[in-house]
Amino acid sequence: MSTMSLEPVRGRTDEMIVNMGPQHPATHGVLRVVLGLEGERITRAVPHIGYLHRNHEKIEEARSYPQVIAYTDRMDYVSGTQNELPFVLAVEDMLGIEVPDRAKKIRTMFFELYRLASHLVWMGTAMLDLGAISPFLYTFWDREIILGIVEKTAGARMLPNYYTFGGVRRDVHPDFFKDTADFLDHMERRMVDYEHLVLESPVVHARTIGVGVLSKERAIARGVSGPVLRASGVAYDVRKAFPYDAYPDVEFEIPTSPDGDTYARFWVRFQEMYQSIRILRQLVELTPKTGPHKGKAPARIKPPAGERYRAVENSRGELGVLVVSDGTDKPYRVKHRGAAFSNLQIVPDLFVGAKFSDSIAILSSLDPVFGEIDR
Amino acid sequence: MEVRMKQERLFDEDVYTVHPEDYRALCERLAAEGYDFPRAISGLDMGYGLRVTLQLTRMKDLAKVTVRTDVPYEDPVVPSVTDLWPGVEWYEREAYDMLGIRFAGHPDLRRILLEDEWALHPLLKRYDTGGYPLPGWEPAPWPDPEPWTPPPPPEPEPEAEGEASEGGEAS
Amino acid sequence: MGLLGSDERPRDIILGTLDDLINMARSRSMWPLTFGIACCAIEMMATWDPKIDADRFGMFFRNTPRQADVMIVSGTVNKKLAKRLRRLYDQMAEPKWVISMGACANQGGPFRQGYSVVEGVDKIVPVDVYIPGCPPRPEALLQALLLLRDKIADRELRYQKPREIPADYDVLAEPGKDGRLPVL
Ligand code: SF4
Repeated sequence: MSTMSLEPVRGRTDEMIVNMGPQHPATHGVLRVVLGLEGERITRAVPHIGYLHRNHEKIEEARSYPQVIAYTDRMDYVSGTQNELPFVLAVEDMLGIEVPDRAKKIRTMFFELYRLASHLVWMGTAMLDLGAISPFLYTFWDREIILGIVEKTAGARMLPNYYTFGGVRRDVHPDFFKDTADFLDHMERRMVDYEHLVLESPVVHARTIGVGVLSKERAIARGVSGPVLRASGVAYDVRKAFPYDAYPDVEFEIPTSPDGDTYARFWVRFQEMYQSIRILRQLVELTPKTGPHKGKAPARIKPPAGERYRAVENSRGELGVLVVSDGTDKPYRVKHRGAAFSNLQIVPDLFVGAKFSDSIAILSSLDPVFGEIDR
Repeated sequence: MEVRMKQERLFDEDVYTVHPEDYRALCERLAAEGYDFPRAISGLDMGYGLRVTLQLTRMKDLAKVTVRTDVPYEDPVVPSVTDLWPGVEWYEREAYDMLGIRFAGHPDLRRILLEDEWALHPLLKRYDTGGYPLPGWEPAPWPDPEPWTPPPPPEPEPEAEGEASEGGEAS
Repeated sequence: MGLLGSDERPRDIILGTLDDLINMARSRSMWPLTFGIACCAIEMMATWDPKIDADRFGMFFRNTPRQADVMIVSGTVNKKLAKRLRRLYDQMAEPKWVISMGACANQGGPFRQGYSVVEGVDKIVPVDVYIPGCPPRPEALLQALLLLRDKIADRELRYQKPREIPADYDVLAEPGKDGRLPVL
């Protein structure tokens, strides 16, 4: 088949070509990588994506602006409402919609809850890839608690379609703040367990330290963002660089690591979870318990002709969207800048020279989500 | 060097609309100015031609620029900038896949999301959502003051100065 | 299962049909294939988490189609994936069952009518249980698995209707293969 694109080199008998995916338990979805192997070393790697291409960008041109929000949800399906935000922010910018302060804080709370949920899924599946079953059982239990909190307010677990132009669709459930505070107490205790299970595990050390090192310059030039970039020592975080919603009101740090290896990426995600807990703690206190949850938005969303790019820092990095409007009630073009899409580009860089078994650890440290990569 | 382009300020970004022949020269200049983080390359169907939008960030001071260039449907060739920013490699492949924009000098210009055998560039406006040609679709005429023509009120001369001052700010 | 009871028989003999025995074994060890496709796959993973815990029904994920009995199509199948999905199905050993999970696998879901999406996985493989929802809750998947278990338990071994395998997936290639050629 012509998609193979990794032709055997004539006269070389020592290279074996191995196909991994699209059905592979450790590719986090439907990634296919064609690998050239020399013994256990990877000599060449060609990733193939597109097995989950769902014509997001074309179908969004045929939907009205509020309908598009529901589609953006389905991109990075592990982190729910985080995907809605860039699109909502871009359209709000174009229309000049004011968002009440309380709505911004609620949005940020959901944003950070989903970051925790997403990193929990990452932790469970990454450890599953490394051969450890039990972290998966713990992390999914905690994730269920988050989804329960979200479901009480938004009515759906994973893809709640909750943000809207000017705020959020409905006010939070009366229990929301208490539930969140309880969950944070629970989560802080759990983080100790997770540190033992993951960061301090000798198996994780042996399989990740010094594996898949990504240099700072290479990371920037490749357009990598999120925890993968910060693990290479670049303190770039859209939440600090171009603050949005309630992030200017809260205190948090950007954890970075100079190492750039797989362990550093694990470590940075852990520190991010601590920061999320910290942000949520502040927001539980700061958010007014009553007040408007939605600003004044026109009944028919018709942004003036023009374009706007907005980005947010989702669990995987800079998730951006370029919205082009021609003045009608349907977007002329919606182009998503996927964080995982950019991050996955470094697969050939990191794989080549690594051992075959390390490729699994490297891939899980990138945390790809194919809904957003293939769109 | 003379670069045919229009410069505007949109929200927090500098937007350059540039003649396709000068696109590469402008990109080289921006790379020299220190724009190191490629955010995305997007392809757009403008109705009269295809547009490539390149978005860059400078990590040092978080300045953002957007570079646009328009090419006709008949010959949609744009120079590739993968050697300046390797991170646009997949975005250029995606723009080729979705809209058929060919990036000259791209190391591996294949389809990325669809299969190689497809003949269709589905994001073109001449197709409906299902990928079938829309009956009665006609391309719009090429815009008369070309998109990269600077707006008339400021005289055509200050454009070169604007460029120079832009370069000066960056350094 | 009936006990032919006379007092002389040893008490530990149970008589029944071979069907019952085999079906019991089959329906109590349905092993799904590890094949998560899209958003629904996350809910599929959540079905095996400690809260819902489908493990207790004897269902464990198998990573190779040769060892799997059930394929859970958890997500949008596009035309590029369709051929691979069908190949995986063909590689699974008989008897095999398919659960179509979520609106996308049922009929295309929110992405119906898109140029790359297969409008229903039943165009490629025969489906036994459909689950509505976008995404279905883990409880819904669990119910589907239990429904499938009942369905398997009712099977008769002697006569089996040949399964209707849907048409070849080549018809699902790109738009234009069905006569309406895109002009370029
Ligand atoms: S049915 Fe909904 S949740 Fe499931 S794969 Fe389709 S879009 Fe995702």
